[in-house]
Amino acid sequence: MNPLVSQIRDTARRLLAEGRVELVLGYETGPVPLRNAPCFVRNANEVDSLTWDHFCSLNLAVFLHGNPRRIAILAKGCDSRAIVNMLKERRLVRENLAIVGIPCRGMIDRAKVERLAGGSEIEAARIVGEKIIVVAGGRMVEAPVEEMLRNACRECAAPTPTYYDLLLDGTARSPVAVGAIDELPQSDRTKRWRRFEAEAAKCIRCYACRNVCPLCYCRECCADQSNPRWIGTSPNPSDNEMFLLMRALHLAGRCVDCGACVDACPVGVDVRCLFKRLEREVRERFGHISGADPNEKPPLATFSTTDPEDFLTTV
Amino acid sequence: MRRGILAKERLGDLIRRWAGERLVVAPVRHDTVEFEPVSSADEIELGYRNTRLPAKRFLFRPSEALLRFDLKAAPERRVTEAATESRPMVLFAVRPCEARSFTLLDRVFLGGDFPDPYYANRRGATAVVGLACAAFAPTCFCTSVGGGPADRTGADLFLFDVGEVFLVDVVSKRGEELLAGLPLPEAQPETVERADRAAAQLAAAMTVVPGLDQIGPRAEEVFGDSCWQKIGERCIACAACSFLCPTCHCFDIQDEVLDQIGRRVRNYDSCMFPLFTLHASGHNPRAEKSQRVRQRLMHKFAYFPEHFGAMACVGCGRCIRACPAANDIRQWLRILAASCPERT
Repeated sequence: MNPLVSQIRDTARRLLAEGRVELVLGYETGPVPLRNAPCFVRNANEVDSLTWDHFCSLNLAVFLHGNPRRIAILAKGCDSRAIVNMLKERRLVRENLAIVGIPCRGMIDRAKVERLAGGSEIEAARIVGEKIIVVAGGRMVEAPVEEMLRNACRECAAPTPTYYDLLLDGTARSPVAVGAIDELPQSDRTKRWRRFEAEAAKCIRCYACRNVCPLCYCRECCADQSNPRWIGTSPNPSDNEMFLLMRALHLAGRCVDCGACVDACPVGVDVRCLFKRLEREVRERFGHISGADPNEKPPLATFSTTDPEDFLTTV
Repeated sequence: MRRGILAKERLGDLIRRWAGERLVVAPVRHDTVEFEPVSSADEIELGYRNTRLPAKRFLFRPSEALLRFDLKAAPERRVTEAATESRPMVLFAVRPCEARSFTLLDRVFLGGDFPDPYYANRRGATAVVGLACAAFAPTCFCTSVGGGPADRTGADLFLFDVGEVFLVDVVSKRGEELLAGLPLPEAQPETVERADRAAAQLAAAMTVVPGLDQIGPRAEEVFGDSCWQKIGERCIACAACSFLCPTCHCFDIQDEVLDQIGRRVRNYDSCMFPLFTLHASGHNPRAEKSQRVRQRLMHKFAYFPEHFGAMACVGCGRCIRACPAANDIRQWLRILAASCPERT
């Protein structure tokens, strides 16, 4: 068993026993391979359902919204950044929260594994050492774990949480230098737009990306407003593009690149292609890394006379 | 019902002939397997378990114009009905669960006093060729909801892949028309037995969720059960499950207008969205996730059986495969089924 699993269970047991929290939010083995389910632990006898492996991609912070209980939450690097932003935006009561940081080794991208398996439904999956072995369509295929990790994980600059109440022992992935990987070059607008169009064309408007995102919590989403109807509900190219662009702009400087939206999409839209780009804009122009520093003001909630303004004058 | 043998090399001819006179839609393998229009048998993937998107979108479109309007035009030309499609279509190599789903959609869109012309025209021009399952996915549970790997419900022709040949069941008159006099040599008893045995073995090996037919009769008790809070808290209230479900059929009607010219469309909608039941007053009878999850499950397993005489679930498992929060409808149903007898 992964040594983190026993640490997680012991911690959960202790926090519940001490009365520090009423609920522990973690992961349990999911109904399908490669995707663990959220685990809501309220009693010591449920603690042994908690697990930890390369399949904990869901960002549990989404379940904190509107929950008035005292909660302990397992947080990878990206999850902790989301929590930081939720705290800054006053979505959470800090005293009610126990953040259990976990040094993250990266999470598996289900779509990559399905592609590896030739588009077949994955029947079983196992991590053996540095390899992932899956059974799909009746045959066995394997690949290095590293290659099957989500892009958000492969490009993660902070796999170990920087903000937590306690940090479990473990070895995280080596962080990647901030901004080291950028697949859409700034220069080629046409290419970027074509890429975005191709992604948007797949969208079925189920809003899984929006609903799984801990930072997409508007009481009324503008995609749902009907008077006026800002964005048409038809899954056609222009309305899909409007929805994705609207969401991206609303998350500019706030998105923590946890990749939950990409995982959630049932039709494989690479929602992240936009967010990655915005993350860079905000970093390069305002020196801000979203969710990294709990004391830093959000870039769009502050003003400095040195803020760059060239975007106002250049086309 | 007629039964016979179709040599696999004849499939190319058959598809080519159909494609000459109809739209042929069949599973095609890319990064995943999806139903798409094809023109030759070479494009078709028969070794799939389930497509990612359901075939329902070829009958009940994700977005469909109902009428067009031009408010600047003369009064008699202000509104025109949208043309309904009725091009003949073959849905080829459809798994039994999906063929069954069409018969459930039929009850909604074709039954009663007001058949839906948009669905009806398309459905009336569609022939369904089913394909027996040779294996099941970990998410499959068709036998728990009345289906099975060789269930012919909803199919006009039904194929078993038995090595070099297909064993073909001609289920309906439309299936007979599809073959257009193509001779089907009689199958060896051994071939028939092999096909039937394989299907029976597969059915026996599948996970069973028992007691689903008991949810309807106990709807009132189940409705008030305390389990819904626990089920609802795990849901993120998106529509991945509804939009990928072969039997979900709710839609929303919208006017898309630009400068007084526009169209009235109907788009897929989902009871998982709070907006689905939001009243003009601001009141929402299903404001909580737990209430919406309850609605979706109760609709499938209590209300639909009450109104249409069958469960509105075919056990394809798409909702399990697609759920961003890794929810498993089978797990939920086990909780519901278990909560039934306790209260008697």
